[in-house]
Amino acid sequence: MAEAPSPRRADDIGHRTLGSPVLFAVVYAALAAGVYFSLGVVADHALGLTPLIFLIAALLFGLAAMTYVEGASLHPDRGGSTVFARYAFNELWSFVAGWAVLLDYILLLAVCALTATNYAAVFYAPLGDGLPELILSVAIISGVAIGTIRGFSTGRVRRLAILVIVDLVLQAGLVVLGLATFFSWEVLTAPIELGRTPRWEEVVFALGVATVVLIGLESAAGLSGEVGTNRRGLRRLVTTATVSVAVVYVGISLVALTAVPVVGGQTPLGEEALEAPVLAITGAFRQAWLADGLTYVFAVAAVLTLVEAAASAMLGLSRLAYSLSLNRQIPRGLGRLHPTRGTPYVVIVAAAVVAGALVIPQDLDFLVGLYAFGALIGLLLAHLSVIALRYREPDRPRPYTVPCSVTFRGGRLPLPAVLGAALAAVAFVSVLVLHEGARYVGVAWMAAGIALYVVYRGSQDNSLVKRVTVRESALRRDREQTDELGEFGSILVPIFDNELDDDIMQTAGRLAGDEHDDFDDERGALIEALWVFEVPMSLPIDARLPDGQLKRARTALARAKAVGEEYENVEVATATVRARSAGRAIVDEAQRRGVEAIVMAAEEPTRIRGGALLGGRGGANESFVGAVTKYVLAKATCQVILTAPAASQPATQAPPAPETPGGDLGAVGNGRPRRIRR
Amino acid sequence: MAEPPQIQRSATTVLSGLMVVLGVAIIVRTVAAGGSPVSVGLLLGVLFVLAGGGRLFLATRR
Repeated sequence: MAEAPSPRRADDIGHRTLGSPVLFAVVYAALAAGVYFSLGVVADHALGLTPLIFLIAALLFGLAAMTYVEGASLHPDRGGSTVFARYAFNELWSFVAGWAVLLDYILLLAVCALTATNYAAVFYAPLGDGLPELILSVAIISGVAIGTIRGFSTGRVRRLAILVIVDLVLQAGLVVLGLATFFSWEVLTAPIELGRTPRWEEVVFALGVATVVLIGLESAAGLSGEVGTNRRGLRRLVTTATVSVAVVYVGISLVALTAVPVVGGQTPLGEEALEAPVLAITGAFRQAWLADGLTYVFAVAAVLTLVEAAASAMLGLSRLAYSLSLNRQIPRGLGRLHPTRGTPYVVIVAAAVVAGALVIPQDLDFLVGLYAFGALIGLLLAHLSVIALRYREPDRPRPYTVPCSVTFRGGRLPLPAVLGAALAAVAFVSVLVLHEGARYVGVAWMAAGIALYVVYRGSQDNSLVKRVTVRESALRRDREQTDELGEFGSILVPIFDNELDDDIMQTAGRLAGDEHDDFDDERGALIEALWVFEVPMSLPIDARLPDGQLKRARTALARAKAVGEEYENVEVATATVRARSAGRAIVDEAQRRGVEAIVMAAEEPTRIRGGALLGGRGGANESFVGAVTKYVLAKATCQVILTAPAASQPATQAPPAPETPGGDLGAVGNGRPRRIRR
Repeated sequence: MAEPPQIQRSATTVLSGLMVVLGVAIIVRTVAAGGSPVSVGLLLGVLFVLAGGGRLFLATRR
C-alpha cells in the first residue's frame, strides 16, 4: 500500500518517509474506534437527539480537520495544536495545548482498553466486569506500551489501514442493514421532549463528549512531518474524513436509537449496554442467526480496532511527549530514547502506568467526560492558533488553506476556524460546568502541569514564554569562554564501521554542549549514534537482514557508544534504521529526532572523474566528498560538521577553509561551509 | 476527451460498484423481510457482492 515516491513538487508538504496511507490509518482508526465507546455515553445524555449531536460533531470535525491540515502543512513539526500554539502565541500556550492533549491520549488509551474488554466479554462473559475486566485492560495497555517501545513499522501501518477499512465497511453495512430493518421516524422522535427528555444541559454536555472523534486529527498532525501527500491529498482527506464521520456516526446512532429506543427517558444504550453499545444493536435483530453472527463479528472487529486505536493513541502520545521534552517543556529525562529502538520509552511507560490507574474505577462516563475537557482545550487552541498565524505569518507558503476566508484588519480571516473556535469554547465551558470529573480532575491535571512547567523552566532560568532549545540555552552562556563549537546539546552521528568512526565520535564528544538538567541530575548532551541499513530496492524495506550485517552494526554501535561516553556529561544512544538511501535516512532522522547538529565522516570521494574532464558536456566532477555527505550537506536542516578523511591525492583535496578554534574540526551546513582537514 | 482505456476503466469501476450496491440491497431486503441464512435472496445478494467486489479488486490491482 505504500505509495511510490513522487518527485518533489512545489505543493508537496516536504521531504517525507511515510506515505499518505499512514494519515488514513491514524485518522480513521480513531474514528472507527470512537463508535464503539462513545455511542453509549452520548446516548445516555442526549437520548433521542443523539443523531443530531453526532451531526453537529461531524460539523465540528470538518472545521477542525481544515484547521489541523492548514496548521500541520504550515509547520510540519512533531505535534499538532502544541506546535501551532508555539508559532502563533508562545511556549506557555504551546505547553497548555500539549499537556491537555497528553491527558487525552492517556484517557483514550484507558478508554479503548476498558471498552475492548466489554466486547471481548461476548466470548467469555466474566471479562466484562470486575477483576477480570481490570486485568485484561491492564494487559492491553501493557501490550500496547511494549509494542510502541518496539517501534512503529510500515508493516503495522499497512495492517492498521486494512483493519480500519474492514471495520468501516462493517459499520457501513450495519448502518444500511439497520436502517432497512429498524428505522422508524416515529420511534426516533416520539420520546423527544425538547428541554425535558433530554434536558438542555445534557444535550450540550453530550456535544462535548462527541468531540472524541477529534483525537485522530491530533495524531495525524503529529505525523505531518513524515508523511508524503500533496495539496489534493490533503483536501481529499478533509472531505472524506468529514463525510465518514457524518455517515458512520449519524447512521449508527439512527440505527441504535430505533433498534434500542428510548423508553421512559432512558435507553439501554446508556445503561446495561453503555460499555458495548454496538452489541445492543446487533442483538436487536429478529433472526437469531443474524443477531448472533453480527454480534460475534462486531465483537472481534471492536476488540481489534480498539486495541489498534489504543496503539495509535500511544504513538501520538510518545511523539508529543518527546516533542515537549525537546523543547524543554517537560523534563528532558521523560523524552529519553531507548538505546536500540529509538523510542521515548520513559514517557511510554509513565503513560501506561497512568492509564492503568485510570482504568481502576472502571467508569467510562467519567473517562469520556474528562476526555472532552482535554480535547476541547486542544481544539480551541488549534483554531485560535491558525487564525493568529494568518496574521503573524501571512506570507509563509501554505500547501493547504482553510477556505471561506475574508479580509479583516489586513489579513485573511478563516471563517470556519472562527466558527470552530466559538463552538469549541461553548462546549468547553459546558463540560467544565456540567461534568464533575472535568471540573476537578481536569483542572487539577492542568494546574499540576502548569506548576511543573513553571518550576522546571524556573529551575533552569529559562523564560516561561520563549522557546528554549539546547542551542539557545548554550548561546546565552558566555560565548567568549565557550568553545565556539562546544555548544550542541544533541548530535546525530552516522556510523559506517570504518576507521573514521572513532574520530567522529570523539569530535562529537568534544562538540557536545554541557547542558544541565536539574530534574535529571545534570545530564549532559545526547549523542545519537545511527546505523543505516541500506536496503536495495529489489527487497522490501522490511526484508530480513543478513546476520553478518546485524552483527557488524551492533559491534560498530557498541564501539561508538564506548568511545562517546568517555567524555564527561555525554550520553550516547544508539539506533538503527532501514532506508533506501543512507543520505536521506540521515537527514530524516536528524529532523525527526530534532538534533542540533550532524557530525559525520566525509566518506572517501569517488576517484572516477567525469564531465568535462573526459570530454563530456558537464563540468568537472566536484566530488571532494562522496554522495552521502553531499546529500546531507544539501538537505540537512541543522548544522553539519564534517571530519574529513586525509586526502589520498591532490586532486581530491578540499578547498581551503578558515581555521576554527578546535583545530581539527570543521562545520559545513546551511550554506555556511567551514571545513578543516585532519 | 478521455482515452478509451480510461473510459473502460471508469466503466468497470462504476458497473462493479453497481453490482456491489445491488447485492447489498438484495441482502438488506431479504434480511428485513425475515429471510433465513439459506434463502435465495441472501445467497444471490452475497454472490452479487462477491462478483462486484472481486471485479473492483482486480481493477485496482492493474
